[in-house]
Amino acid sequence: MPSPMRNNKHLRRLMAALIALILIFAIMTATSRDRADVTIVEKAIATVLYPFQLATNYVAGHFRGVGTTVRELTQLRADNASLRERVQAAEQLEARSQQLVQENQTLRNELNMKERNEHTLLTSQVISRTSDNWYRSVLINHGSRDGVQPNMAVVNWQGLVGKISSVTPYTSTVQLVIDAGFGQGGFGAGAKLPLGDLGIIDTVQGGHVRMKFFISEPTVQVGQPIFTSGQGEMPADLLIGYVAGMGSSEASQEKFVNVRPAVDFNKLDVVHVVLQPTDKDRGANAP
Amino acid sequence: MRYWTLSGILLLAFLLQSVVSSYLAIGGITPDFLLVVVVTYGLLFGWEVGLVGGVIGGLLIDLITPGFIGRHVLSYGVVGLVSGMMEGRVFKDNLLLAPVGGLVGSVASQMIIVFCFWLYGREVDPIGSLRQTLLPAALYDMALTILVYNRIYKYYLYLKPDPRGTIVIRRH
Repeated sequence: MPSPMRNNKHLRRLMAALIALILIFAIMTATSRDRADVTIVEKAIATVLYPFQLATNYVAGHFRGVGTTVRELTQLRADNASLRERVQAAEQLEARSQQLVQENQTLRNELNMKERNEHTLLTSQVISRTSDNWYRSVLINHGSRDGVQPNMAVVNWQGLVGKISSVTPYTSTVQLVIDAGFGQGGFGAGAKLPLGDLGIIDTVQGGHVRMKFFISEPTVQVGQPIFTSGQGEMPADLLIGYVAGMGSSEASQEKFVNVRPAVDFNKLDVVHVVLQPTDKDRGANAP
Repeated sequence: MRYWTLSGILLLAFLLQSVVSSYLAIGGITPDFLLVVVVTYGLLFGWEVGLVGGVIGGLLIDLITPGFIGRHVLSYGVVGLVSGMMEGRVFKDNLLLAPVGGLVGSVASQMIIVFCFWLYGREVDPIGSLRQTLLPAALYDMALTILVYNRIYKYYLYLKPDPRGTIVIRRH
């Protein structure tokens, strides 16, 4: 005698839907933690897509170049006048800077501190951005074959861009500072103020970058620069952004500052991966 | 049903989504080609095609975007299923079908993704996300659905031929 379930089409469909739902949630649970290692399937898809992304980036780069040139020509005159003024200011600043460098050198010698080594940088091109509106990440044209590893810091001339979240042989995904998951995973992004107040970077969905402090009454002023502290995965002294204002969480009464990122994330073409952060980078320069 | 053609369109949408969509971003918001195709499949071809298209498309996009795998499978799958359940209840040539389908589908899909974020501890600012991501993306997807739905509907009889055959009228 056939079981009633076999004959009941709706019940069978309901069971199949339930099993599928359980399976989906199981996969989501298994992959919801910080995942540096990508699966073979993900690697294969990324490798297949790589030439398409390169080609699109090449074509888009040309179109973008033409558009940008036309736009920039219209602003050239105003920029020129402004730049002349800034050059004069920069010359004065340079003179002051040289004086400060000498002074700094003298103080370092007195304190018997070692000269800080430059980071080893790998210059990479941004070939694609994430197609998901809920994540803020970019794809660069260097991967594990070039020595890139998960959690390496990524910078550009403006400051800290983000960190490597996953790596395939030819490409790497860079999780931007403005991505909500950036500060997750322990001390993913330790931060400090010039006066030495330490904290962590915590980004909320919607691109709000915040710095939470380890002490209750930090000395903060709007416009102050915020650097990586070297505690955690990031090398020290990379500029994250500037203090934009104070805030506090209604739920936990926790104080934090809103951070205006130093990097213009709409204009990311070339970035540098900080290869092999040394032990000295990890906290040696933290105040 | 011409499943190979439907699969080809889905694959093309995936390619556009993964390679081109970031260049079509307006104010940082990218169009969701796959969602649009899934909604269209559901509304035109029923819940089976909508659901399978949603699950396959969602899995593909989950494998190339950061974050946990499964959120797009769930959101596209549900949207494909629900839009497919509407198939027999709506007129396919109704002008409002595509924009309403695209708007509701996009909002529903993103709400499911936000629910998944909440479930797995990713902090979400509800007001900020609504203003900066959810609503602009829904409007973008709505506009795209109008284009894609009408394009695919044009070839409806080719994609889903009448099983009784076709009558060819010749003029002499």
